[in-house]
Amino acid sequence: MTRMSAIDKYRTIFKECFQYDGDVDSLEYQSIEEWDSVAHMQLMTELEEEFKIELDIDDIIDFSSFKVGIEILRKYNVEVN
Amino acid sequence: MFNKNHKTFQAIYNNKAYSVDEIWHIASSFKQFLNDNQLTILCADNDIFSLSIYLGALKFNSPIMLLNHDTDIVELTKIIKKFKPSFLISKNIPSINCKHDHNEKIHDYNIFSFSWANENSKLINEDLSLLLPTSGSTGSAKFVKISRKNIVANTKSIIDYLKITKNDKTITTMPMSYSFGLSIINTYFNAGAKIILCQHSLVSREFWKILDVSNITSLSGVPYIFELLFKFNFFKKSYSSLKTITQAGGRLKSELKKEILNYSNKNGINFFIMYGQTEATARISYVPPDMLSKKIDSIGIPIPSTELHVEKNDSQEGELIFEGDNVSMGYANDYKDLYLGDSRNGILKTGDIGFKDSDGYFYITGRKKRFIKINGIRLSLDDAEKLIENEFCSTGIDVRCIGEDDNLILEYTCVNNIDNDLKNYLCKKIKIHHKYLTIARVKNIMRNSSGKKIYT
Repeated sequence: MTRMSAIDKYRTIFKECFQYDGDVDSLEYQSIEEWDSVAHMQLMTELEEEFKIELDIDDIIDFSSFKVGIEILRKYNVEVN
Repeated sequence: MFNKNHKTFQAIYNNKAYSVDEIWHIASSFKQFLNDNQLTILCADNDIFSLSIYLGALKFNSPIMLLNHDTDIVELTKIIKKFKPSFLISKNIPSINCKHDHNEKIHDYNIFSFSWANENSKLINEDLSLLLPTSGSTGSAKFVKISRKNIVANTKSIIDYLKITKNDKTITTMPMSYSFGLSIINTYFNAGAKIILCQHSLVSREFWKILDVSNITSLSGVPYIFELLFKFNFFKKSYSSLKTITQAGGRLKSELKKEILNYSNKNGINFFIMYGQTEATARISYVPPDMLSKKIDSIGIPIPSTELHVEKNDSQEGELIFEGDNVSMGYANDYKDLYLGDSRNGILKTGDIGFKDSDGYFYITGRKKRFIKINGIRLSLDDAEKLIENEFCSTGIDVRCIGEDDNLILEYTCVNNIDNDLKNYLCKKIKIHHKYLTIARVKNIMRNSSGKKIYT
């Protein structure tokens, strides 16, 4: 997986999960109606499947924004950016 | 309404414990908006103010309609026009597109006053205490009419079988406008117990922080809450104070039921599986914890002082019929229905199909009415169809909604593929995540000879 395709994939998962057409890079948990707790758990599941990882509970809770998510994935050796 | 036990009740909000006197003090600041024979709509959040306003409404004999605080303005406007309330109390709505006399702000809550010329000459039925929504946002705006007698009866019965005492403490995991969530408030209040009002979801550090330090004795939720608890390894931890777990609001997956049962057995916890409907104020039946391993798929036995039976004949499958003082007065579709009294006389046709086993335990096998539950919230399949037909009528769409709990299946015919438009519209409109929705474009929608859609 190239660097570009990873960030695109990451963006696509957000867009798809929230059915959101706007700029996802600035999204934060509960900043839009679509990113509620149900969608959050779905987002976590989709990221886990896409990047073949299992997110720790603390990381699921700390996953508070698109940008923070990139840092969290780095801990699992997933470089999306 | 209130027995003397409630005096020890405490609500804990933002780390501060509020006594009953403090709650009445807050309620009194809203008293001018809580009058008998005038309807007040409260967009309730799990905070001390909503709690005080709700309890105040009961105390002051003021009919109150509870909505969730996130009810959108379009939906809310529709409800106001249909129900003609005297007051709307909401913290999220700064302005409203309905003619109102004035608005003011108390404790973060905006209050709008309405007067409806010549239309309020009739009196709201004196038994009516509470209006609760029947479902999520399908625009049907149908409410269950609940009386004081209903609340008293259901509260007493639940306290009785769950054995809630003043030493109990729980935390909110559901909205107050949801009958299960509200039943916890009613029972904890009347048992003089403690309740932590929590606005944080399980997917937040705050929730887990509170849980870790608060020594709760009881935890309740709908299936989705238990799926989250499982995901967050709750059942691998031990909370020494926890004595009771209750689950209602839909069928919990069998594996998860067994997981929680094991956990409960290991930790000396009473695990209650329960069944109910808003139409019965909240609770209808429960499985006594010591019977759960034998009756794991059952909805249990009727709660104390009520009866449940199968229509016509208990020995075969049929509609479950419930009788008790907690059977609500009926439905309200607009303000005119508020004038009418009890239409059910204590008997509720549940719409659920099931049977009774030889030990007297009930089981649900299907539903008579066309609805499913998504995250414990009822969704009418016919209403969903109507929403789509109205929104997409210019496309010449023909649509059929079917499905099961947590899986809405939408089949449609249309010259173009409009999967995405349908998904975007419906998920936003009825506020569900699209993982609960399956869309299929089909060649034709099956109809019988008289042109009616076939649903089975």
